[in-house]
Amino acid sequence: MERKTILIVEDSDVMRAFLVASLEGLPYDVVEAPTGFEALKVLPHHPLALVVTDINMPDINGLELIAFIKKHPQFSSLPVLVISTERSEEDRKRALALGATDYLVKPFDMEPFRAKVLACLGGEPA
Amino acid sequence: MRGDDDKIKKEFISEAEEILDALSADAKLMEEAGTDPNPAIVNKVFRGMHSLKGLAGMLKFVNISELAHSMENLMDKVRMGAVASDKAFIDILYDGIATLHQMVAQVAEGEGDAFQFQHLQDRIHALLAKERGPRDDSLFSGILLDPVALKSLTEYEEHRLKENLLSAKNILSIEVAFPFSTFDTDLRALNARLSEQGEIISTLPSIAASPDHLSFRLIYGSKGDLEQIQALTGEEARVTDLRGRPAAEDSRKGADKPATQESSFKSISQSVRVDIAKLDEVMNIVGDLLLERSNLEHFEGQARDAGMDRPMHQQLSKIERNLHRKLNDLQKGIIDLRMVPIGQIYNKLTRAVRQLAEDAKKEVELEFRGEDTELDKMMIEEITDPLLHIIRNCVDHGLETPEEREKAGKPRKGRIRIEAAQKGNSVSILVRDDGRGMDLAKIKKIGLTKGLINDDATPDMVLNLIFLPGFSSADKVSKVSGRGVGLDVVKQNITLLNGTLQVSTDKGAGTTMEIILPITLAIIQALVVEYQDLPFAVPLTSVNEAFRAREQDIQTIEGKEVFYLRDFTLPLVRLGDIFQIPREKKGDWVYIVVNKIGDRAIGIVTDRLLRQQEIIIKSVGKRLKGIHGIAGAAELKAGDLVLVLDISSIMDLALMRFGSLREAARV
Repeated sequence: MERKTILIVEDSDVMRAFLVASLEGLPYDVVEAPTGFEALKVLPHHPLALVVTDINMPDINGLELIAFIKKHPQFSSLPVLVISTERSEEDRKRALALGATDYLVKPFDMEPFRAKVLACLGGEPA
Repeated sequence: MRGDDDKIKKEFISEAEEILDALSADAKLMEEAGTDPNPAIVNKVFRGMHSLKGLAGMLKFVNISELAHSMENLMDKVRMGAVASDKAFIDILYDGIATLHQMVAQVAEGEGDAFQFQHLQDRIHALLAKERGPRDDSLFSGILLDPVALKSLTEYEEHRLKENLLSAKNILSIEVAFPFSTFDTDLRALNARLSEQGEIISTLPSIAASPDHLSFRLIYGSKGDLEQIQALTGEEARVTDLRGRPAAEDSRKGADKPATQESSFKSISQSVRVDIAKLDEVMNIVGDLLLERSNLEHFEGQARDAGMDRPMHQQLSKIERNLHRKLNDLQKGIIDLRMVPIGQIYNKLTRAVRQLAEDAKKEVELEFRGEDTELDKMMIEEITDPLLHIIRNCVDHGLETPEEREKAGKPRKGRIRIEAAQKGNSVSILVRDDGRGMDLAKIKKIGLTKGLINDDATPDMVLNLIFLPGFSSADKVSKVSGRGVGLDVVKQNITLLNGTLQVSTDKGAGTTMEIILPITLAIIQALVVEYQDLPFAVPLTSVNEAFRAREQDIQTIEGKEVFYLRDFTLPLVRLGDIFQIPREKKGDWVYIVVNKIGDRAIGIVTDRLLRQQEIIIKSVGKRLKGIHGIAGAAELKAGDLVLVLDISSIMDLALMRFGSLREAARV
């Protein structure tokens, strides 16, 4: 069976590297996008299982990306995990209202992130 | 794991510095904009602090994270309009960036990020306490936005929308579709046009009617009306007024440009960070390969002489030539990788100047030109300190106090302009101030007292005294000359980079320092000459011409050798005199290599010119390091070493001896 892909949208190089490293060993391919535009470009071209996205980003923000994903019939069932900051509670609420699956507040360690990712994927690695 | 940790730490430092440099630049923009800064810049600063906080938090640099967090909170209030972007705020912003910079530097030095910044925290809290009340929300109801569009605004975007409404801007919706393969560049181009006339508040992507297109709905605030903006966006976009005014005729043309090319999905990030040491390593390997190649060439000659089969020799020779070409390409490619724009250090300089100006109680405006000029990364690192030193002198001594300037009929703010430009294989960096200039008469007087010059010394010669060790450190001079201590060290450091430093001054109007550097340290063009069977390399950057002359045509004036070249007297120096090489072989003919730096010239007398060659300079060991006249060593062929001459210091040595002949030496 084809391996599924996790898309990570995050504009900080180090943060992105950290997220990617956290997912090491999971039976998924990981694709990275440093901007919302890149995420849009990548979306249709991978058998995606999950999108992990930051909210505050250049080009388009995480909320706009979620709105796009949820409106698009091809992606609307795709789970989205939001990475946010403790201050942006309002933005977090909006993300969930737009259809995001869950969120995680920065900063966090590798393990809780991994656990959230697995939970968003439906508990068992596909 | 240690290695990994180290790597992550290095990446952290690199990214943190990048963020802080951008923050400095944006802080300057905010300062210049006064109390009404561009919201896009304010938001960028907010995001920068946010990223830094996250970064530092991940790596457990709790102090950096904590300060960045406070700064982020402050920036959040500013972008939300709750705290004014006034002088008190700008000061904190600059201090915050400077403190964060120090902390990151401390981490880079291998220490932790522990740092005393409580006073800064107190100031931030004091400012936050003055927070203004929230904006009225009632204005927000008249906007025709669908619920999804409203929900996908972040809190900040919502705030910007309100601000635009409050300032009675037109709120427009711009719908536009682009081919999937090019939407990012297309949309960025449109955004750039729109940003000149207003503010893009939100960008919501959606599915386009055409399958290979993507459409976007922008929310845009502008003073421009619907027709003006429609003209700006072109016919493809559909512009409507969100405050319920009649929409323009729906002129959107269908997605008429078919996407002809598949977009690439393989690589997303377009750049990698590489440790410069790794590049050095690769560069060294290429250097070794080049030497192997010359061994091959040598062997090829031997094989031919030994009667190698002709077709076989031709084949060998062809391989050798191809190898040579490819190696040269490889070398150029690696040098290219090392090139970075000099604008990278401009941000550091901006920060430093702000601090220096504050300390010296001067008002300084810093101006940059030629940010895109590229230089070897190592060169940029090495030139930062000398450049800072020169600028510090400008601020401390060159520029007058605001009061003095006013008296002299100048604007209160002193101006320092830094201008970089590429000139062939060199880069020129000009540092110009509009300060008081240097007092040549006084410098000359001191030079005379110290017996360094004669009374008939030229202005240029007098000016160059400031680069002599110990000269400028005389306190009296630094006050009258408008220059402080240590220019000799600065010059020495620039010379070590194979560069030159020139000064010119105009009393009352300012001083200009020009640094000329080779683009890269790694490789230079040189003229290889021979003196008493020993090879020396002369960097081509200073070579003006070379010619053959008869020994008997060399004249002597006051015991010093000169050559009458056309209409001027060229002072000569023999390599043997500088490096104490006994002159055992004497011929009737010599070769004179004319070197020119600025308007000083000198002829170096050699026995033979061997060839022009690209050489990779390697630094000489400790034993040779202090010797004047040697810039480094290079390998010509395997094991065949050559010393690279440091023309600038040879010139200093020789011309000092010539004293009064200097007038003649001016070209």
